[in-house]
Amino acid sequence: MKIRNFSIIAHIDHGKSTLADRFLELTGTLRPEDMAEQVLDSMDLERERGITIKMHPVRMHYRYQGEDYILNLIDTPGHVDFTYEVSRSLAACEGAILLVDATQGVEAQTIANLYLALEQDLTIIPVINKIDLPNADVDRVRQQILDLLGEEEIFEISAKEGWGVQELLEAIIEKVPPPKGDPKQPFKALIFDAVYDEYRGAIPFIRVFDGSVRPGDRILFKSSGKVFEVVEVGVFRPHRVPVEVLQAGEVGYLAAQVKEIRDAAVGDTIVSAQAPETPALPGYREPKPMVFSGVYPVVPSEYPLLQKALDKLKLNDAALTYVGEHSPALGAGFRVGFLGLLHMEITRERLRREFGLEVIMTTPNVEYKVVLEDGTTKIVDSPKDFPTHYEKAFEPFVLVQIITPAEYIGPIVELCQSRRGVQRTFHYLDPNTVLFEYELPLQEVIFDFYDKLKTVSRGYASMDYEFLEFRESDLVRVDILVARERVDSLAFVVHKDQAYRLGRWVVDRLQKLIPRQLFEVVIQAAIGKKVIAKSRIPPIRKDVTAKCYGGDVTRKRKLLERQKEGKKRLKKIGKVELPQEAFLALLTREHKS
Amino acid sequence: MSGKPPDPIRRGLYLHLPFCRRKCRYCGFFTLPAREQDFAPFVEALLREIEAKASRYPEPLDTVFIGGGTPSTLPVPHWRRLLQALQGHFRFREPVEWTVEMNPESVTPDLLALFRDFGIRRISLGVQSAHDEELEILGRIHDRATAERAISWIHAHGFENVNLDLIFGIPGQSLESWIRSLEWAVQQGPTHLSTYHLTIEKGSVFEQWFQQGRLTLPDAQTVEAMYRVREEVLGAHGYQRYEISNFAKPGYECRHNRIYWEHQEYLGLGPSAASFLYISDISARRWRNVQDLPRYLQNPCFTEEDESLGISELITERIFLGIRLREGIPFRRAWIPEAVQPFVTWEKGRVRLNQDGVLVADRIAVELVSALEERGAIHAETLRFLGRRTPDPGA
Ligand SMILES: Nc1nc2c(ncn2[C@@H]2O[C@H](COP(=O)(O)OP(=O)(O)O)[C@@H](O)[C@H]2O)c(=O)[nH]1
Ligand code: SF4
Repeated sequence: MKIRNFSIIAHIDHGKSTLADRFLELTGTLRPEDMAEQVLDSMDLERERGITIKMHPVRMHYRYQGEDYILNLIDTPGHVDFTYEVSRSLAACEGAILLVDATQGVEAQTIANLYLALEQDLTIIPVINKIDLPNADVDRVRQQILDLLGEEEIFEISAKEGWGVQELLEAIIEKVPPPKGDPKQPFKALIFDAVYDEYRGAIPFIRVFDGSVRPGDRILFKSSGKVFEVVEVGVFRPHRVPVEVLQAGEVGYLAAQVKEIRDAAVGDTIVSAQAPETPALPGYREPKPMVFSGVYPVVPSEYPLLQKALDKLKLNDAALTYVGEHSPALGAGFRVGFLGLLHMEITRERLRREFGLEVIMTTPNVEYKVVLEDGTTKIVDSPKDFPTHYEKAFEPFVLVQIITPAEYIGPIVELCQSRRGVQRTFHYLDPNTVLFEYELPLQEVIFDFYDKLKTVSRGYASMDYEFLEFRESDLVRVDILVARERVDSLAFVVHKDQAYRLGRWVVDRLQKLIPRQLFEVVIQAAIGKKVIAKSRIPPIRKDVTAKCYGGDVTRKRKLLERQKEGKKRLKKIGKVELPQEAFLALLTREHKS
Repeated sequence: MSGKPPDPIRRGLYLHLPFCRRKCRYCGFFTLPAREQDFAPFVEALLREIEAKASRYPEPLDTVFIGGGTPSTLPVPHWRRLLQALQGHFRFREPVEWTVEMNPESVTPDLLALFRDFGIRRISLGVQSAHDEELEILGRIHDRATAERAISWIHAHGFENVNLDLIFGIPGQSLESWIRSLEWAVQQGPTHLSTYHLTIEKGSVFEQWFQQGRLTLPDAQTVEAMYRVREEVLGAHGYQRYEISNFAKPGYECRHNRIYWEHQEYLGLGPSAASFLYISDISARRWRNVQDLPRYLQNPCFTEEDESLGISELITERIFLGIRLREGIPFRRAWIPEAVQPFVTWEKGRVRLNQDGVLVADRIAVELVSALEERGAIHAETLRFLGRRTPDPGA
């Protein structure tokens, strides 16, 4: 049978799931009565957020011009946090559909993924969807695509109505090249995803490049060197269905009693244990957390539960890292590393749904590389550990792609510049739409950049980013002192030029949040010993009932009891008491992914 | 913690006469317009209550305090029936302290003579200020001259135990004006002075004005100075502060009011009056009579806000009431929170407020109760420990 492996690149809501459903119908992959809407998106978490996080490959059969074809659709996650996973999925394909909503046009994330596909030399089939809608602007979108790809042949479809879908499916067969690969060579496959099954361990999803694999084969994972025996191989229909063998060019899964998801890392190459020297496929990268946050149970006594939950999550989330940490205001918790803000949010949701745990996550920060005065290099992922004196400091920079209607260019450029951005490219996709790229420190991007971008563009701009490199920066740690005590969890690292402004901001916020105490409270922001911002909370002057006789006692007592209960919810920084909510407002600042 | 047998519990009687000729602008008490036709049915109901309560709560009384409202608005014949009923139905433990509250405009020689006849020795007079403009703002219906005349009559009738009520923090009042009021009051020769910082009470006219931004109150600094200056002025004349708002010449502290602050028992009669009686040494009941004339007339034993108090409630009350007193409360030194230390002194097992502490007494109470709670000390032992009294200085 002939094989075509392809994926769909699309922005959220542009119709990827709807189109996939039409394909499944056309190929009779599920009998219509079995078919729940949008079978590809199955995790309910993803459904709610309208995003695909995990990819769910599906194998379809289609007869065209007297020939039987296997069509493997490999879905891609649509979020910047998972760029690496997207690139691995694309590496498993020979072609990709670029799907663009006729009413929305091209969005930044789509472009980022399109570039990934072009890097892999994939055949791109541009498609304009939703042409049934009255406000479809096919000409404009056509021009954008033309501008991006120089491609004249653009499909116009309505996934919802089914218009043009069959032609598109057949175009895939016509245009996407069949997989290369030699079934006679030793076995070689790429892991493009993996799931974790409580009973069977990690199950890698693979694309076979050379040779074949069947139960009983001994296989070797190139990155770890570990060897396993295959117990099952199978394909996605879209549920997992065992088969006898997976051959070069095919897409499927294998089960081999792999205990930990770390041993089935996305991007790794699996080869035959008989031919361990078979070279690995290029592009493997260890999952690397990019943002870090303190994670604490809302109920402090749930710390052991949180530990257990993270251990479990780690089994099927190779990107998650964590170590214990302690905060005076929040108690015992963990410093957790995430791929990005969405990954962070997903982890919070999973802790809630799968373990019933409510957690507090502190303002995320990036990782820093610091060369100390003695020449050693230190990696810092918690601001409180950032040294006061150093030779050089480096912070991660990313390339941010932004697509926006031209009228918002001004405020967006201003935003990027205020975040230490440097413009790299600037480009009109059509007369009204601009694509431009900025190099920005990741820290600036994860600190409410997205919210600000949406605000200044009234929701119209879209963005994506990719990691560039660590770059030297003039960074300082700003300490926050309350009543002369340093509050570790409030320390932050910023570029020197912004230290004063942010220090002032935190001090002012704290001044508003900390209720008056019996004594004066001094709040300071400091770099080393140098105080850069300061304010005072005057002491309570008067809190006394003038008249207190028989009839007043109950009311007065109830008031005191309420105050006392309120006090219990106060957290202590040294001898200063402040409401946990207030502290949290500060620890978590305001950020949204 | 205490080895010796506890002192007998003292019991006071409070009787509320709600009638006032005009509602003062700062007043949040339960009051009724003084209408002639209401007096007789009211007194009837009161007599019924006296009879009922005296038989239900027969323990002897140590003090009686008749307050209001303006008790002095009630005409002499009604007063006579009332006092007869009280003295006829209740039992007393000598020496009993009897106090009647009066307002200057309704002090009459007849009434004073009657009080004397019934053995009443103590008069509490609401003079509030020495300045007519301030009295006017407060909505009082007397002026300084009326107050002075009333005091001279009171003295002329042989009452030597007299309290004067004063208010500070009045809209527009200056520190100097407050000092002059204090000095004026001292010149009137009272044995006792109550000095209350004006509180914006719920339902008062001042509350309304306050919300509308029409009330210019002295600033926080001035009020603080007003609190502090009391000690200077009154101290110089031999008055000692024995509670946050109360000053007395030695031996003239109000025994009735001490009952509240020392967490002793009281029985309240008349609408809105509160009662507090122990059920055991670690539980008590507090209730309030109805605050509604028709319902009170219908059944003077109707209650509202009836609650039982357990160890935790009693401990909280003992602390915030007791800390108001000069002698403070028994407390372990090591348990005094750091933040509280600058506001208290500790001596012979008791913690008491210093000059600065007086201004933040309520907050200190919260801190002390929290300190006990943090140490898991909310239990019967602590309650008994807090109940240890110093000898009654008023006796
Ligand atoms: N009118 C119209 N709506 C469509 C079309 N394709 C998808 N939609 C709708 O667009 C929304 C998003 O589609 P979905 O397939 O979930 O997008 P995904 O997020 O890319 O998977 C849904 O409400 C679909 O019904 C189309 O061709 N025409
Ligand atoms: S303050 Fe006293 S006199 Fe004035 S209305 Fe209130 S109860 Fe009556």
